[in-house]
Amino acid sequence: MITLDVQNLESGYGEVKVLWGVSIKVKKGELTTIIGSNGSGKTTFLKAIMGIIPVWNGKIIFNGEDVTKLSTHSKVEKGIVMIPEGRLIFPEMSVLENLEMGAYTKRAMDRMQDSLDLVFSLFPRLKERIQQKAGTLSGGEQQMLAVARGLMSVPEILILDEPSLGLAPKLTIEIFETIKKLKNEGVTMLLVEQNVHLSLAITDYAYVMAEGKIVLEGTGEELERSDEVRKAYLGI
Amino acid sequence: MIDVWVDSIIGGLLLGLVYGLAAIGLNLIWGVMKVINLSHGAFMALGMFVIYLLFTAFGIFPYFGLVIVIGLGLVLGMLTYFVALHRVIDAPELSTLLATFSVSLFIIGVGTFVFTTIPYAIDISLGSISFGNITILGTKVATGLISIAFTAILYVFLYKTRLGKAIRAVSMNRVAAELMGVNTTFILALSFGIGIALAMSAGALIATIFPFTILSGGVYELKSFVICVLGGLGSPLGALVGGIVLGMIENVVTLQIPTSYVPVIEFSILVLILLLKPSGLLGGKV
Amino acid sequence: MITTGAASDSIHNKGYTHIFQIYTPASRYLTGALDMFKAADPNAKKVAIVYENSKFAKDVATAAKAYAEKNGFEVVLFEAYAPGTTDFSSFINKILAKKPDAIIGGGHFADGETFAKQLYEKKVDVKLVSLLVAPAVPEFAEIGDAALYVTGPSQWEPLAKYTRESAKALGIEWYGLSVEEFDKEYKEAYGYDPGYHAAGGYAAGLVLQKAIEDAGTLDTEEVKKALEKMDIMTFYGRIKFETGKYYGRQIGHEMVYLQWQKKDGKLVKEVVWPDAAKSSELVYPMTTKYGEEAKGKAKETAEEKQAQEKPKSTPGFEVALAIAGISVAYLLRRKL
Repeated sequence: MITLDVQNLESGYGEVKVLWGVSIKVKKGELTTIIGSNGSGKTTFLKAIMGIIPVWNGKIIFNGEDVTKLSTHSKVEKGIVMIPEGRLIFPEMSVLENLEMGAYTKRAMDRMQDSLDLVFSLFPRLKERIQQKAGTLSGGEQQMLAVARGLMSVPEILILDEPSLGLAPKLTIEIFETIKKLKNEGVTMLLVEQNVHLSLAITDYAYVMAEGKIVLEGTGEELERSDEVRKAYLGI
Repeated sequence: MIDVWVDSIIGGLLLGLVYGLAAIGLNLIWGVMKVINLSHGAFMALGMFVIYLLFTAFGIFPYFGLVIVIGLGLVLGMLTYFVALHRVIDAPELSTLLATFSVSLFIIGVGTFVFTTIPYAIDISLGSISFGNITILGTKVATGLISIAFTAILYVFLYKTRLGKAIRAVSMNRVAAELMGVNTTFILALSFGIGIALAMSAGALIATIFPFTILSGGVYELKSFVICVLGGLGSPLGALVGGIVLGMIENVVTLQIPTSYVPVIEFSILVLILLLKPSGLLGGKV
Repeated sequence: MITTGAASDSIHNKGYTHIFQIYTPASRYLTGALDMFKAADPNAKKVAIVYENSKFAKDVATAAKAYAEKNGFEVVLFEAYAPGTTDFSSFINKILAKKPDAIIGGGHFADGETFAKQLYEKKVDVKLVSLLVAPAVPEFAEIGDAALYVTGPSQWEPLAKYTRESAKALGIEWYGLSVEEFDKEYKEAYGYDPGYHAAGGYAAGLVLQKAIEDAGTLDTEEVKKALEKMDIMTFYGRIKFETGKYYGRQIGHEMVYLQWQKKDGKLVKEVVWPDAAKSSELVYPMTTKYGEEAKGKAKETAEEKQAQEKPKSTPGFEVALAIAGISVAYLLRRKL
């Protein structure tokens, strides 16, 4: 079953076109990954999906419904949840308040207690710091908080934009462990990563993006074995 | 002599609380929207006239009239947001500055036409308490207490309610808030509405103690800017403290120096704070 | 040119030799208040001068300060407030600290009214308050008891009792109609009471008529000579022009001082100074009003001082001639 079906998406900034007809599919319960180098348009693609920047052309179908024109917050209400690049936690709010903000939508609010239990079981360290100001957490903890906050929104699909960006190798591995755990819990995820090796290792299906287009796709294993990917991204 | 000092301190404190309330309105709008609201003073003047008309035309006692002023402020503020600000909210700051300035010109233009620039006054008295040379006016006490109450209500709203938290979230990161499912357009409009409601109610309170004209808002707008910088942009408590500092300067420091130096002192403080501690005395985010 | 409405001294030291002033100039606007104060209470010494920071009020205040010091008063506070000031608490606190016997100053209507109101609210204990402009305006009564016993200068009031007898006492000529006649004719023509602007305008015409009669010609220089020599009493008061450094400045006319008093429970203006013009006695000290039934008691009298004249007749019909003067005057007043 297809959770998210993006068809021929075109978008950009001002006059500058960045996405030249991108199509991907995300299957329910699977982890789908988009890899690509800096500037290939990955983040722009996610922003267009979320409605942070306008869609010029193409369609976004979510659970069979056309959501192309919906505003960002309405998409969140439907269960399309993104953890943005750079985390964007609320620094002057406590950890708990950040989590509460995650459960802002009506849908998520009703299930806040369950969500909190889940989040604290995944990230016991956050539970210890529940009253601490989020801005005072370490980089790794902030990333965990960002993921936890995303989970509080009860996502039908969780979109992660470069979760390992700026993290030390040890923390990067920790984050990927978490993603793997979530996958095992059955969370549908769309991951955008530059860390090709780690992401291909855990992903069900992957796309390679370059210059605003999908240039290659396949299962994680297929892509890992592909010469192009090995040459361009794995440096082998 | 000591009684004069005590009198000045009490007077400065009570006045400072109202100044603080006015500044909170400006502060909130800046903190949440990153908009410098140049229509702040005009809306304060509007608040003065609304409370005046409610009192003279409908006989509504000013402190009850405040409720109507707040409601009207919310509606007008949100309306103003959608009419004047929404389209330029993401544009460079100069655009929002000009947009609010045009709102101010509009209000003052129409206001001048309707009310002319002659002074009006609301003649109410709540009596006064005297000890020797110390005379405390009931109306000033009332405005001070109401200012504290409003600040407290705003504080609870911002820190304890879902909507209030959303406002704070938007002030910290609008995109992130939108990604949490917050309708940030509505929150921006609401914040502007609350800011305007605060400005109008501060104006209304000031109208119960001093005479006013349609142009009176300008003076208080300037004070509000100084207070915001003094107390730290984005901090309601800071604005209240900044207001009290300003009230004290006006009432206590002037016992020793000519009153005409007050603006010099106020703006020297402004410059000094900007140079030495740009985040303000109690700087920080909402 | 005869100017009316223009009260600035500085018009007359610029070398103009054909401008003659009808109003008492700014430099003498509040000096009469000090005379009145001294007469009412020879022992009072401390005066606070608080004035609006505008050209006119500053001229008045500066002149009043010099006059006060020359006459043995101690000026304990001399300070300006910004135009548009609505909060006088810092001034009031200073006044409370300095404990003056009298407060004089002011500027325009709104600030004067507010100042008087806040003085009352804070129960400031002074014996005399004399403010520019505001007390002369009927709307001053809006502030109710705060207006009570406040005094202020006016160029002229219908209540001013300038008569032929007062002219005689001074040994000068009376010219023109009486106060009552002017009052009556003005009301017939316009349907409301004349204010000092109207009286000044009328007086300007009257003076010009008199000068032309004295000169016996319309020749400019002859009329000018007649004006230089003029020293007459009219319904508007005495008229005499300076011919020295401040050429053409009014030196004969005196301000009258009003005080808001209560008659039958209503606030009314009474002329309390100078003696020659007064319609009622000065209530002094004004703080009697803070007492429970302050109302009718404690009237102290200000005495002495005169200034009078004597009547003559002749209605002046030359209001038209004063139109130029009035328009200049209006422009200047706007500026003030």
